[in-house]
Amino acid sequence: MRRSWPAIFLLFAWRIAFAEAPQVSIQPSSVVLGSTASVAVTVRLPKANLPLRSACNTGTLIGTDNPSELERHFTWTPPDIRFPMTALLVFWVVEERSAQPEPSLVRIPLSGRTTLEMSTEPGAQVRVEVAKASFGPRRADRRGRVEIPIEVPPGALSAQVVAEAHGRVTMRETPLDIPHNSMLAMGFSHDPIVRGEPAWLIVAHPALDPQMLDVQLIGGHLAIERTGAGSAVFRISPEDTARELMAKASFQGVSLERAQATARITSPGESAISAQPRNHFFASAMAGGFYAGGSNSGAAVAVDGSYELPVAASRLALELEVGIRSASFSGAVEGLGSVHSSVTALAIELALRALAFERGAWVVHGRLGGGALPFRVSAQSDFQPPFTQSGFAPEAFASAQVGYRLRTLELFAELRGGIAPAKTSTLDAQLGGFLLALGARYRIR
Amino acid sequence: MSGRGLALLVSLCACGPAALPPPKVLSISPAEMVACEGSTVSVSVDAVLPTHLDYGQSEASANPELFLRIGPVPVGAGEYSPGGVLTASVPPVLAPGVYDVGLRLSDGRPEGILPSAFTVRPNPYPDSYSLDFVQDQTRRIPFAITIRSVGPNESAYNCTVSLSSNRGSISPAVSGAFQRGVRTETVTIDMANPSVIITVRDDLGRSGSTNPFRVNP
Repeated sequence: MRRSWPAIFLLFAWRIAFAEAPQVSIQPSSVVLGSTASVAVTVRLPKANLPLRSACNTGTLIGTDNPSELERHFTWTPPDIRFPMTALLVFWVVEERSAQPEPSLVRIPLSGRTTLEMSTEPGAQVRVEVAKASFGPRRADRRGRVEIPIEVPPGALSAQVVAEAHGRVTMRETPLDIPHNSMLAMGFSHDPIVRGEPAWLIVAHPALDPQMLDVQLIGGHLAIERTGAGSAVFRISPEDTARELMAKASFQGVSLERAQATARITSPGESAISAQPRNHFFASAMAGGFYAGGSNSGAAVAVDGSYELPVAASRLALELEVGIRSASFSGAVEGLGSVHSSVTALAIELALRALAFERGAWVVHGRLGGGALPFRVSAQSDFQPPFTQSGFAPEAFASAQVGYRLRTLELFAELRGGIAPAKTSTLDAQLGGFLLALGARYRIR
Repeated sequence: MSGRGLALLVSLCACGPAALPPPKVLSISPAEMVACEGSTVSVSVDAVLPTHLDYGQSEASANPELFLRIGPVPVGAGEYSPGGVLTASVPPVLAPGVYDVGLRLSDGRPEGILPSAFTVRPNPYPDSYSLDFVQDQTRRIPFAITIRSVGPNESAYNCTVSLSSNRGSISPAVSGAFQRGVRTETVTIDMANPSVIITVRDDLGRSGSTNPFRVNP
């Protein structure tokens, strides 16, 4: 089903709960396309650990890390274009299901670079003024040709060319051929949207005129609830049979100002499942080797279960690791013969994992831990009967894991330094040292 | 991993003995000898030497020292032989009887004992002893006496006898081992006397004496 919103304001007389707007800051505050790689965005939440949602009209917005319970970091990457426009980033928090979202907008002017090629009198001094900025001067060649690189901010439609030759000054206005790009940004307050529960559509534009705004919602009904500086909030209600909502926004008579957003629809039962907090349990497996000098080297494998602690913005986790390490050694015994021995240990360890760095898909974790390694040493020789001995080796370790996330899976490499002296009346070995392993970590659904 | 699997892994890695096993004496061959004759025996042992495996230095060592005994008498070279078969000479000092064979290693582990593993059979004793005629001698000047066993087993006696004199003292107090019933012993009397008699006596109290002879100053 397709419904058009006819720009009628339905004002609710009863008390409406509003969510607080997050505070947004960006660095740098403007972008020169082609020279600025990205913009760092910091969002400060009104309350700790509130779910934060966002939308943007262009470019790519990626959450990077959560430095605290009240702060979220994003990186916004400009689009691969060269003409000026204004990027619009919209953030809002989902404080509670019944609270109307209060969006925060941030505009990023994107300036484009181009080179103006002009013809004037030979030898003339030429400069170009664009939006109060001056470029040049440059002298025209003998044929009167001159090229001047300029930066064009969004909104500038023409350039003023000033040429001076033989004491005469001529001024000429040159139109800038700048393609138009939509500055509409739009998003649903929740995704998925739970049927029967309040939900909203947020539409933002730097120069939003509610009278001109045309919003279509496929799969549901909408009604405007509020307009603010550059944004409008619509209450939406999905139709009974719809499984997805699609919203399309445009300005009447301005075909280039367009935005689109989609959201899934779930039933309350499904929502109970999907609305559950994300699972805090992880499982991982890794394999590698260790080296601690001499014959203290061999294979190491481990499996690991971890629980993400609901503190410090979920940056800490407790882990239980179970692994196997082995080393072997052959040598001669003076006057008697030769001996071959091997040590096999079961590593049972507890560790505290901390998220140290997060940027895009890359993460770095640090781990501190310790445990016990029950081990068994066996020896076979050509001069005496074989024998075995067992013991426990204590272990303490610190490690760094560099990981790359692929959805719920994280591939990682770990470098660990540890001490684990394994001693008996016959054995003097070290099962710690440096351990290098590759593995995968999976968030259990 | 299930708790059962973890327990199995722990048991695989940690349920071996914490200490090395004590040594064992498996057998001794021959398992008997005749008193006063001595013997060479082979002792088979099951022993893990005090071994040290140093993974850091990639070195292995073992201490081959050991202590082998038959009854109270230490035997053997005091070192382990690869393969665990030790060769030992048993001196003719054990009285007739049954003895344990014991093996102890240098690291203080409990001694391995093969009980009642070695038997010393008694030597056939003669009825008495006769001594050849002794000329007059001089004090503190060694001279030889010849002792002969007498009786049905006279040629089989290979043990020793004690020596004594009726005047002064005689050295040595115990003879060397007989050879087919005969022993020639060099002795010294420390006191001058006109009538000295030397008497020999075995473990069963059977004896013999010399003729009286003069020991001059």
